[in-house]
Amino acid sequence: MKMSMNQLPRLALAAAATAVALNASLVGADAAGGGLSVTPAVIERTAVRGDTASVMVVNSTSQPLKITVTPRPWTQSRSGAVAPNRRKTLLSRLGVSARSFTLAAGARRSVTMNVKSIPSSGSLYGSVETIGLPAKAKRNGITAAYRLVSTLRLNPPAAKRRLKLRASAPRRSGRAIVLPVKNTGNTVSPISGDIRVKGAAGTRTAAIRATSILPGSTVDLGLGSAKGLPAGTYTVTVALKQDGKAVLRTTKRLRVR
Amino acid sequence: MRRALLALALLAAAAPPAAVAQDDAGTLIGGSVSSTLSLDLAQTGATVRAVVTTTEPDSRLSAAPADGRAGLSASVSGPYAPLDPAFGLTLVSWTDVLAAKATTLHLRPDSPAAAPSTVLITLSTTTP
Repeated sequence: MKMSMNQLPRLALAAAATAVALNASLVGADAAGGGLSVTPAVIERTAVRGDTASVMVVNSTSQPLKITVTPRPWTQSRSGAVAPNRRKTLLSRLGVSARSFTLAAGARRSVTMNVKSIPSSGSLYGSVETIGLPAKAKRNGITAAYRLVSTLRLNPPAAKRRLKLRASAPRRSGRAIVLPVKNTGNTVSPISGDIRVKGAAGTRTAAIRATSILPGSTVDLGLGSAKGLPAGTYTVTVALKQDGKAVLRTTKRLRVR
Repeated sequence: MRRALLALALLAAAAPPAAVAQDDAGTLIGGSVSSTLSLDLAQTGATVRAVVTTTEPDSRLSAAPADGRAGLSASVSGPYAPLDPAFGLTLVSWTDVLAAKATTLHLRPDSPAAAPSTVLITLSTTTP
């Protein structure tokens, strides 16, 4: 593993962000604002039934907030973007010690989640949605309320870990060439790789940007721009890896009109 | 030696953000803290100032109607766009950690006679 110089400012900024968040959580009700915060932003551990994890919710605003904590599954779009599925919850698999409560100005509360069951796949991925509604909502107009969405990753034990991908035929999507890839494994480890596009005019190679795909989801991985590719038939060879391991190597045809 | 250096580098990269200071006597004071998402909202009429602090490198600020109904729009720097009842509307995305990053957004009902409503200003991680 290499650590480049440009990671140092990021580490320094992370420390500053933490200091700001801690300061915000300590100044309490007398401060102008301060906001709502949750710690940690990411809960990641091996999926074990009966395990518990805690989230600290801090109200540093100057008013009480009605807090609701709900674990929800993600939905993932073809572009790879994820959002909590607001129509579903993970409450059948994750118990929450306090789902809704009023948090006074300047107060904090720890909410514990308990893993009740794990899917047969051995992993569970989702979000923890923390909503903070002002206790006194406006009688007219629009009221802005808080919503923080953190990440929950319960990874499969090493013995159950399965890295498996399935790719469909590459296609044009707007100005880009994309390769639909379905994660048929049980982890969200980022997928990256290399692509080679061979045609009558020559061969192009490029790297595929690392993307996390939820188990069971399909995402269109960007293979580069279609700009400058003359009409014709191309041979596209894609090599994908996950966790540093070669997971899929496929050769497909691409017709550009 | 090389292995020890590599182990130290791995620990530094994997550890949660740490804040360390040194007092006059040369004693190191500090420790590691967990990752955090923090959002501060200050509303004046239909204008909301959102201040974001996050230790996650990929995050997004979005707005969604709390009741899941259509009829609201939002804008950050440009024309108003409707808030999708299910997915909301992404206002800003970041690819780095943030310390007190301020964004001003504007909200409005699509109809002047709309009922009072609540908009969830959402700070979320974007990596599943």
